[in-house]
Amino acid sequence: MQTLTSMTPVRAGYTKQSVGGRTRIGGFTALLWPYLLIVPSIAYLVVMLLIPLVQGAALSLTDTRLINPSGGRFVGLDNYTRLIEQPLFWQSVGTTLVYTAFTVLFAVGIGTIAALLLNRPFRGRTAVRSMMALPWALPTVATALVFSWMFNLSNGVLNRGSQALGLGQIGWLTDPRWGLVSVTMASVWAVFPLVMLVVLAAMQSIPEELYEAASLDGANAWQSFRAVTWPHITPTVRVVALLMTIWSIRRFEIIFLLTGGGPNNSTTTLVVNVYREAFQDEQLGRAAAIGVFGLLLSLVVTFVYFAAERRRTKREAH
Amino acid sequence: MPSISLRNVRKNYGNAAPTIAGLDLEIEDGEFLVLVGPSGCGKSTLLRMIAGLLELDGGRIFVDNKDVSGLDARQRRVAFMFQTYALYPHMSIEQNIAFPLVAEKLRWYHYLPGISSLAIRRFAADPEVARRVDGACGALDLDGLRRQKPKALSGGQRQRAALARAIVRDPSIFLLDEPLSNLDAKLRVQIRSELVALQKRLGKTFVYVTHDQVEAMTMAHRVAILDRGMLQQIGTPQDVYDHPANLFVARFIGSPEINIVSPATIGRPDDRTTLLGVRPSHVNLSRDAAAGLPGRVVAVEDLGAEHVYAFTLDSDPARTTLHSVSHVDLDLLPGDRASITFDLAAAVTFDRKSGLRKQPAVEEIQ
Amino acid sequence: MRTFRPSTALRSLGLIAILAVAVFPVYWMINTALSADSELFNTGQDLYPHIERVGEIPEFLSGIPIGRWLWNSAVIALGTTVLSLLIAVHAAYALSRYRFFGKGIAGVLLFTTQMMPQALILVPLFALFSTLGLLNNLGGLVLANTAFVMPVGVFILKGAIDGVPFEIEEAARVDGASRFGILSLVVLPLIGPSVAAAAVICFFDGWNEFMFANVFIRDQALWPASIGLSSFIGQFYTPINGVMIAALAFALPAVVFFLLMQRRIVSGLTAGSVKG
Repeated sequence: MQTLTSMTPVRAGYTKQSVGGRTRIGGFTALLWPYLLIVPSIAYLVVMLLIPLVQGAALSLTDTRLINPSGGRFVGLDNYTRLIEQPLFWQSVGTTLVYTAFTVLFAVGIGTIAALLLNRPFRGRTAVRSMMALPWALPTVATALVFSWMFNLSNGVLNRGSQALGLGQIGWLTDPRWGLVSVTMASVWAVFPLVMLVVLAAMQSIPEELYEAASLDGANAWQSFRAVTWPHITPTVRVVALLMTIWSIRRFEIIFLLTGGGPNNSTTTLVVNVYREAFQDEQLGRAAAIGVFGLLLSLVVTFVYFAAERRRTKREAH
Repeated sequence: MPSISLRNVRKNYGNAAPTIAGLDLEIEDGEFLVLVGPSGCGKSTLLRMIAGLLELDGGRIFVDNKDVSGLDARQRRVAFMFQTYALYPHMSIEQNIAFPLVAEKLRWYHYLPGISSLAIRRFAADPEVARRVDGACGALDLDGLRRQKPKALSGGQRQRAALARAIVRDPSIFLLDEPLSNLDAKLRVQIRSELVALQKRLGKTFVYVTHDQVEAMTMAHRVAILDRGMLQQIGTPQDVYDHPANLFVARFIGSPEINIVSPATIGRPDDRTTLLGVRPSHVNLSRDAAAGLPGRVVAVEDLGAEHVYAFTLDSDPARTTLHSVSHVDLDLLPGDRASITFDLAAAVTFDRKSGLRKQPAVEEIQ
Repeated sequence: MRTFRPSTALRSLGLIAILAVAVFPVYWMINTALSADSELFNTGQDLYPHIERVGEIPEFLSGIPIGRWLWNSAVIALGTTVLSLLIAVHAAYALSRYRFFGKGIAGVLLFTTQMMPQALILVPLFALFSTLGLLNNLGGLVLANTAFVMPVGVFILKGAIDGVPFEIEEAARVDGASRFGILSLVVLPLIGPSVAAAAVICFFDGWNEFMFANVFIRDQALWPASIGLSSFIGQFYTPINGVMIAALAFALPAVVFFLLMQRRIVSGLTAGSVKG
């Protein structure tokens, strides 16, 4: 009769010494495996992005010009002080902020509403969803071309329509008051479907039972949205908003192709500013300085986002 | 000759008490050993360490006297049955079953783009592979389901498929991780006996993990009871039932739970160092007042062949609920008064402080 | 018989409104492509497309090297997709299944690359490619694009791999599959929709590529369609309807690709849940 083959105290503690130590499965090569998997991606980013980034930052401390990319004297923070004194620079900062804020606001707003409208099944829903996603599928240059034509002063469809309504012509791309509006409109159009698809995916993962419970409790559509849908999609919406913000700060093609930064520099965002400074004014050093500002702006936004996240999770933990 | 040998095996997760603490276990070749214990006792962890899916933080594991502690699962040639079956959803049942035979033949160059499906097809067409797959399908009655994907199968069928995948390699050790938990009760009972029959037929070593002590008692050659990473007792089911090594084992094995009372409560001399354990089948209730200790019936469960009575003793200030099992309907209802007698012939004595069983048994009490 | 509910009407109205806004510019593109010059600049463009003018399209297209442009765009897009996914799937697996030193930093690095303005690294990258001989080279564009879009792929694929039950991988281990075998034979097939979603995003990134191509490519023969099309802006000898035709030609493959993959994309974006 076998009763015990090892120490079996019921409530006793445990001995701390270990015999033999940790035995790794697969030997030394097993330890390397995760590194082998991740090294290609990290090395790639370091070589293609990080190092050029550092070089770009270094460039911002010189007075390099385009005709002579490798020759440039060290000028310290001259470029930066010059920028701070330059009204155009601050204008581009402001333009970037305004552009980003409104683009994200409308893209996330319309995208979420679209997702909400698509959430309930109906006949032809897939087709409708596909068509709503067209703006995102359309290549940027094509988008720029067609909006450019639609915004055309005398022959664009928008102005023909407004003329027919007796409102006269609007200088969509020629009037400094409308430039940013037009560019924002085109951007929102191109970008909202991504928000829609991502938020829709989040909505579809909400279990049906929650809606059933809500309607049993007598909730109407708005209330069930607030109580069931919104809490579930909030994390997704926040992440998407953050990504949209960062991408908006970075966005170049659509703005540049529509207005080139004009009219009157009213659509010159930081990135457009960098491009023009580098390739039109041929001031590589100053362009790099502006670029560094753009990067800092993104970092600040991200930092604020994560700080808010942390505060939120702390609050929810109580 | 022990087939599996665990020596001072340890596993730590985090800084609290270790998940497995210095455990020794010898599993005989060809036996059906059941590892049983409450949730979190470390039985699944232990099984995965035997399989080679988890690393040991201390100690060694030997299979047939070979130290396998450093070997990955793919090198250990064991079969593992998962609680969720873990069939490959994107492959047919046939492909699932053939996978172990094909996977081990693939080398790194087979994974180059495009070659893998060709290589798999070539290996799967091997007559030896086909023979084994046919054998496994036939043995588990899966012939009609071979082409289907796992999601088209019922729970019981998926279980058989997982089993077929396990036996197709003809391993020497079978590890089963609570395979019956996801089945309904009737199916569970049926497959229980099928598994026992299978083990007998194959003659291989089965290590079976469960939290259900009924499964343990009905299936095992030997039962190993774990609690919080420590082995409490190992022995045949009868052994563990009749001679539990400590309070934990006594309480864990047997349904309804053993009655643990202090001798004073049942009117015995009490030196305040012992507790008595009496199985419900050794406790009798009757309406006859003179027959024994006075008490009150609290609940009645009529299972047809058995009648379970939950009661409290008047002599117990804490009014602990105790149980009695009778094969006769005693015609007692909740709230009734009853007289309780304890047959102490098979009672077990425990040390009150350590919980360990005291030997010898009961003579001094009588 | 469904009772008429204002919410349904509101819903339909909203859908129609957004749909109209989404589709109109595309419709207008087609309309413009099929309009005659005279309408465009004098009498006013008709609201309905002149389908009969479809025959003029091939004639126009033969006048511009659209075939070459599209080919270059395809090379860039496909190259970006293949390279990005190859790298991303391994990184995603490592981030999903392993704990290792530096994992947190790797994750942060992957994320912060999204914030980098392309313009900032344009010049240093130009210098780097210059020394490597990658200027004026489609491969160079693939390399540049991959750097920006690969982290997005990692993000999507990691979420998908997180959703594959670990027990299935354990079963494969017990069955004798090598680590690489588990990845390619078991995990990868189970995250198909997410791979499709990531592929579409990588493809679009490559198809849309403009800034680097603008600066790095000298040879007109190597122009991707994005650059080719942008060359129409500001010059006057190509009529707008022709430009729209070219734009449609540029848009068509992307849109078709999207429509083919779109169901997979939606399920892929939910980072699929798999039941074993």
